[in-house]
Amino acid sequence: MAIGLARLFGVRFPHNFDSPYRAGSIGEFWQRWHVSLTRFLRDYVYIPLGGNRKGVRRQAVNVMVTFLLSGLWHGAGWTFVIWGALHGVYLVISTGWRRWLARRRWTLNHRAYRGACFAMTFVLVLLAWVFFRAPDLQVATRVTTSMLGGHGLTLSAGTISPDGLPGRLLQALGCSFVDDVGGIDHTGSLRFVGILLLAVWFLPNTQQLLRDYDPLVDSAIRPGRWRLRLNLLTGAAIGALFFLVIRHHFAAAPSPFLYFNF
Amino acid sequence: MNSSRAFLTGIPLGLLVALAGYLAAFGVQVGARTEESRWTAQLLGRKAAIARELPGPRLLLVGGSGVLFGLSAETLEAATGLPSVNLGSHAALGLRYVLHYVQGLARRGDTLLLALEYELYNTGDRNLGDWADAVFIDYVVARDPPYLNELPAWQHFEIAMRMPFRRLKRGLKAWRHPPPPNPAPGVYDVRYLNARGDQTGQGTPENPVREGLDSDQPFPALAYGLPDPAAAFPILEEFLAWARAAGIRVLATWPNIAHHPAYDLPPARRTPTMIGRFFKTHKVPVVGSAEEAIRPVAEFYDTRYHLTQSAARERTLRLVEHLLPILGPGHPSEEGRAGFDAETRK
Repeated sequence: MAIGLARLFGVRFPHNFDSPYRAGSIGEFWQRWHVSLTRFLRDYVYIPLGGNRKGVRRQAVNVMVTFLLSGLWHGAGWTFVIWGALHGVYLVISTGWRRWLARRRWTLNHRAYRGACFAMTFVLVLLAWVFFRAPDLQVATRVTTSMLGGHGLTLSAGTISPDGLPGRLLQALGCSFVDDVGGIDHTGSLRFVGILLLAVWFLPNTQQLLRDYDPLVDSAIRPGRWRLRLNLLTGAAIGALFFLVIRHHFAAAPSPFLYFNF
Repeated sequence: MNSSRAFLTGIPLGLLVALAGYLAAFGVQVGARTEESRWTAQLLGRKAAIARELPGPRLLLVGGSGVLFGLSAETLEAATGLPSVNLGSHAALGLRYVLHYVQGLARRGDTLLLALEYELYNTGDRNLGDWADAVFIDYVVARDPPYLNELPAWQHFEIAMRMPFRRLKRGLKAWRHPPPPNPAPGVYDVRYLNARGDQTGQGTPENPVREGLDSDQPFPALAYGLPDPAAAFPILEEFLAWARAAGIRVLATWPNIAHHPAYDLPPARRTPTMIGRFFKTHKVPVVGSAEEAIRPVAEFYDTRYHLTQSAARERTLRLVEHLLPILGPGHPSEEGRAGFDAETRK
């Protein structure tokens, strides 16, 4: 939105997000997520603190300080501090792991390894988001405990039949089944989340689609395979999508813009 | 035409085509009777027929399903001698529609007893989203197109836009092939209405009390208090002015609600105090007290508002004691006095 609105006034912005959930490591995540803030913190906090020039331990301290500040920038609360700290710890471990691999001259580039890195990065980022969005530490702790199985593993009987083979296997592993609670359509919700994840992971982002039209001041975006030609048909398709957005505005409960808080 | 111009032309074109297609799909299924709206439609139809058949001044009980399940017009009629009809329907239809329904049935000389659920006081008129929920949209689109057509064009459009896609799909399906009636779940069937429109059968051996109510949380509108003034007051003021002009007397009472410890705390006094003040200002007698309408959980059938049949009768008898002095001389009539004695002996 910001990039498009700026272009209406003849201003070109640098890229700020680049499909961050496709990152294969925490380092890459921060090259794709809120790039302008990352760049600012790198140039004005991390590098002045010494960056990676003063040894491994000092680098780890610098990373932690930078990410704690990043957390505080997002909000003055312990949940944000913990969110920043988690990312700092993730990055320190990730950097250490890469250094350890390099010392052994190992190059792990197998598809399975890359897939595991991608999955782990995604899950760790999600875990940290709980602290980012929770109203307080108590809620965040409760949610993360549930995510880690601290309150048992429960599935909707509407999604997987407890009597089928997968259901029985899951029960043997300690999973319990409940009916849909509070009128929530769990199967529909899971399907919807699945569709969104497919879009997030496999569809090109708008900057990739429109790269022929130079939407950005820089060209850091990974090219991608598909491009969008601006013609009558694509205009009509966007018009139809715009209708869905307007309709959604009528039907959905108002959702405040998250970044008004920051 | 260069590509930029073609693209910019395409955007409004696509928007208009999508909008026209959507509105056409909405339009063709208006009046298509969905299965989900059947019970409410039959309920309102049966009660309207009962009310129309009753001669003379009547006592009409007004509200959502809290009235349907929680008050007994039969008991009231027996105790007061005043022909009574339970017009309680479905709070999800919204205050505006609940009152519109009553306006179509009330006659000069009638007495209306409003027992509106607390959430109905929070449904204003300004923001359609406050009151036009999925049940209301499903019902008016499927069963009451004339009401839909009477709404201002903007609200009509807004209802079309707010209709969930699933409901639109169901409506289109019903338009092509009217759905066969499904067996009604439990007591949610008009065959459980008695001759005065009261719900019966809930909490009987045939339909035992459900395990656990719809929620064990306190109801925020009562526990924490509604904004003062309540959003519904302008609608109620309009309704009271209509009733005065039509020679119809309006009384108010409190909705039955399952007890929760939060209702014993001071903030829970806010909403009843505000509602009581509103009715006092508009010279509407309030029958009984809000505390009296907060009933033990054991008296409820399946939700926080739905009393069992026997509890509804008990609650109504208690209400009669407050109601008789307000109804004035002649109530109870001789018949009513005998009826009241008979009811209390049961």
